[in-house]
Amino acid sequence: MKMSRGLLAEFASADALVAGVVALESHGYSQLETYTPFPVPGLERRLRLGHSRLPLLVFAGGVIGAILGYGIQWYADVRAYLLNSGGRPAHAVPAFIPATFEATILGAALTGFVALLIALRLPALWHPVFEVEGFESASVDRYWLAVGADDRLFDHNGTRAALDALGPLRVVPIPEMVA
Amino acid sequence: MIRANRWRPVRVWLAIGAAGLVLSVIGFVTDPHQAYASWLAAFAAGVSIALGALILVAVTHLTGARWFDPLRRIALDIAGTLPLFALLFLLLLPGVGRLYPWAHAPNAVNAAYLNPAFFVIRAVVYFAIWIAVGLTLRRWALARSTGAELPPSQRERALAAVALPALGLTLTFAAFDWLMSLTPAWSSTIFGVYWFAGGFLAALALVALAGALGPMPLDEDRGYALGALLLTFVVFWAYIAYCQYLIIWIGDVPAEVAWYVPRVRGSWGALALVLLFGQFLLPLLALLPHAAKVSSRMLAPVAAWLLVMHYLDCYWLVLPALHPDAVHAHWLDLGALAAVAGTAGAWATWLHAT
Repeated sequence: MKMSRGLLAEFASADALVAGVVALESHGYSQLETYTPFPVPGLERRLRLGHSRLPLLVFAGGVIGAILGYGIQWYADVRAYLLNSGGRPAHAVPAFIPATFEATILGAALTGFVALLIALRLPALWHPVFEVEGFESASVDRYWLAVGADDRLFDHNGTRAALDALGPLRVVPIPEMVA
Repeated sequence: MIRANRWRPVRVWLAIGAAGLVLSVIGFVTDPHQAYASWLAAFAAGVSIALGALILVAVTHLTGARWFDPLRRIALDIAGTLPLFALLFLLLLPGVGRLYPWAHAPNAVNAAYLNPAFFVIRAVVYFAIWIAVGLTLRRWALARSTGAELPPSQRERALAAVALPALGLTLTFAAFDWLMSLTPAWSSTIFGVYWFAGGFLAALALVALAGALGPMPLDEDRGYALGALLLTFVVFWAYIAYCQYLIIWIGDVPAEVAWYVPRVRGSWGALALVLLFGQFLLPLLALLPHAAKVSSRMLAPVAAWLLVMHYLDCYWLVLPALHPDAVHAHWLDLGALAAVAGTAGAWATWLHAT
């Protein structure tokens, strides 16, 4: 038997996929991954992905952006180059707000973009599931469920039997390496 | 027993309203300047919430917001208090001469617009439109077989489409007439949007509060939709408030800053900061987390807080015209607030029970 990274089951409907996830989790599997052509309602909760840290990172990025945006204006107008503009105070809080706001958005958006790339290990040009014949249907009309070989309960024959019991269209191994 | 319980909230609100009315009537006689200013602040806060609820119904009719279906009855009952606000407005009329400086300036440049007769005619037009739209939308919603919880019918959506521009214009002019003209030489074209933003935010808050405290607590989707809208309009209110302030601050022309000078100094300035934090920064942070939006128990206190802030916002708009030097909290402020909130609460809960 060839070494594999896990097993992949193809389902014809989102309901069958969700039922499969529920069944495998009740068996105790934890390294599950799904591939669907659209976000399936309730699937994320079923997969017990845990809380994303992204919102906190984005918030922190926004706060840092705000501080930098305000700080650079304060430094320029109050410390580095005092400019009397019609007798208004050098530390002109209302006038500093628009750029501070923009810097907040920039900080939050850039943090979100970069953190998401890192969290998803992108950009990646190749992934083992791409080697499975017909996997591109995951972005058309099929629903795929993967069980990772790193799962505590993973056992090639036993897991294949468990997947077969869910009534998939087919079960295929995820190849380890490209030949 | 069940019938008695149904009417209990109406009686409680009515008692509050009656006590407030008695205090206010005493005030109209003994201290009219204070009494009418207090009355205007409470009235402006209340009527803007009823209008906000009406606009919320019209907008959700047009966008086809299905999540709003179970909450529509609450918003329709709030908008259904508009006839009451027409009555409450009548009590304001004897005070026009005391509240508005233009009432004694028949030769001022804007006297063709700002004079008592035209002021009353315009108010009649505003209320006629608001009441006609509010009552018709409510009657049509209740006429549907199983009540207001179904998606709106075609005629309701058509009326909402026709009414929205009219509501936007009349609300803007009402803000100019009732609030902005307290300082007749001053004008800000964004002023109507400012009053709308506060009223719509408070209407959303009241719908969220009534929904959260109602017999059917908000589910996750509904809570999230309301929480996200509250967050949006907290930011929208702050954005409008800031736009008006920035343009006038940076222009720094005596005629334009005249309205802000009393409102940002001393204790009025402290109240402005309370609004900046209480109606923007704190609710912004409170509503940011996803968990806060999907839970009734988190939304309800934020919504109640925002309602208090909206009253303080209207107070800050009106009362500096009477006391430019500093905040003078008065028992008539509470009297007027109790009268408006009590009678409107009784009216809305009565509509809800029938």
